[in-house]
Amino acid sequence: MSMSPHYRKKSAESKPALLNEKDCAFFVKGSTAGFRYIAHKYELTPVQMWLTVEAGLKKVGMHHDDLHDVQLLVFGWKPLTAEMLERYRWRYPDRCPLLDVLCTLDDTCEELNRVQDWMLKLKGAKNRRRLDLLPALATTSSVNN
Amino acid sequence: MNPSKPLPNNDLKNGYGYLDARLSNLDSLRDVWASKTEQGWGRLIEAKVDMRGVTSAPASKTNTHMTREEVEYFTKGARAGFVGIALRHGFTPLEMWDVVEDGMKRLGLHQDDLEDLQHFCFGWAELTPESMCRWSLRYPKRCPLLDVLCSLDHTCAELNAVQDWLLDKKGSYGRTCNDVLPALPTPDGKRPCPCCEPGKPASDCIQEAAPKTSSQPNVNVTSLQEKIR
Repeated sequence: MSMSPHYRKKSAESKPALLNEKDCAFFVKGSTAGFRYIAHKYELTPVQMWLTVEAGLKKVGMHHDDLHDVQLLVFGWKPLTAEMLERYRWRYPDRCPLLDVLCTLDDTCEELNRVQDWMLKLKGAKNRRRLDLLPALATTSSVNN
Repeated sequence: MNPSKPLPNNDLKNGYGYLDARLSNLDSLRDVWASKTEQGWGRLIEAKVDMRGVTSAPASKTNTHMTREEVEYFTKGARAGFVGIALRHGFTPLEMWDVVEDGMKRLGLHQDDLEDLQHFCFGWAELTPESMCRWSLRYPKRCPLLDVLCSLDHTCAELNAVQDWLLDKKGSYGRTCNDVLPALPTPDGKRPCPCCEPGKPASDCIQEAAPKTSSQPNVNVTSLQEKIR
């Protein structure tokens, strides 16, 4: 059975460009840098920081099965391949939950913001870095605001 | 207390604020202490502590100073063990830390040191020769982190090499494993061990995983081992 030319053309046109290893490296570098930056700024230990991020990921509706992978990713224990990033992209088509949570907790990390802007543009989502679903972390003092 | 050098029986005669009458009249302070017995668990107590063993200088043969290469060697091996054991047993970073933290508490690591250690294990803080010297003075006989890691799983060759080297350096007895902690159960056949693939040295797979956890540049362990020896 052959597909109609109109349908075939439409599906071919709507298919976005595939992500490559360079995109993966950019995403991993930015998200892990943001993870550590926020922990350092708010004087959180690695465990405390992950528990904060995990609570945020659950609030924005990340599936429990994915939390395990994200934890390994932010601590650098698991590499991210282009295929994995593609799968995540289709599972969360509008926004990236991890970047949303990190940017909502603190939006002063330039490297993280660059990745979030790139990701929002890639997904065609509305251009807001932060989500109102989560509160920002409380600043500790005027020195590091 | 140092059992090999007991305190003399007459050391209280030296006096540190007590009246001489105490030596002859044992009931002279009865009324004072009677009031203290009603103060509950928070009351002050008198304790006699032999500080000679604590304040004395470390044994001359114990070398506490480390060069930068030696610190890098230690860092690489400890993190390789931490990550390698977690990967082998299917632990997440947090699960692995929980196990290690539990072991550290059992071995008597101070609470203040746990936070520093957590940063180190996850590659968020680096050791310097000076900080390593302070750790060596605080734990002169054995390294608690290596003890815990080797007790949990002693199949990581890179970790074992660092443990053997450090025990030798500290002049401690050469046992890689510490029986204080039970070993983790061996992974089953469905979860192949990254360290134990046939024909592949244990350090190879760890070397691939560990640098990703550390912000410091990749270290060539073999050349470091040769340099240190």
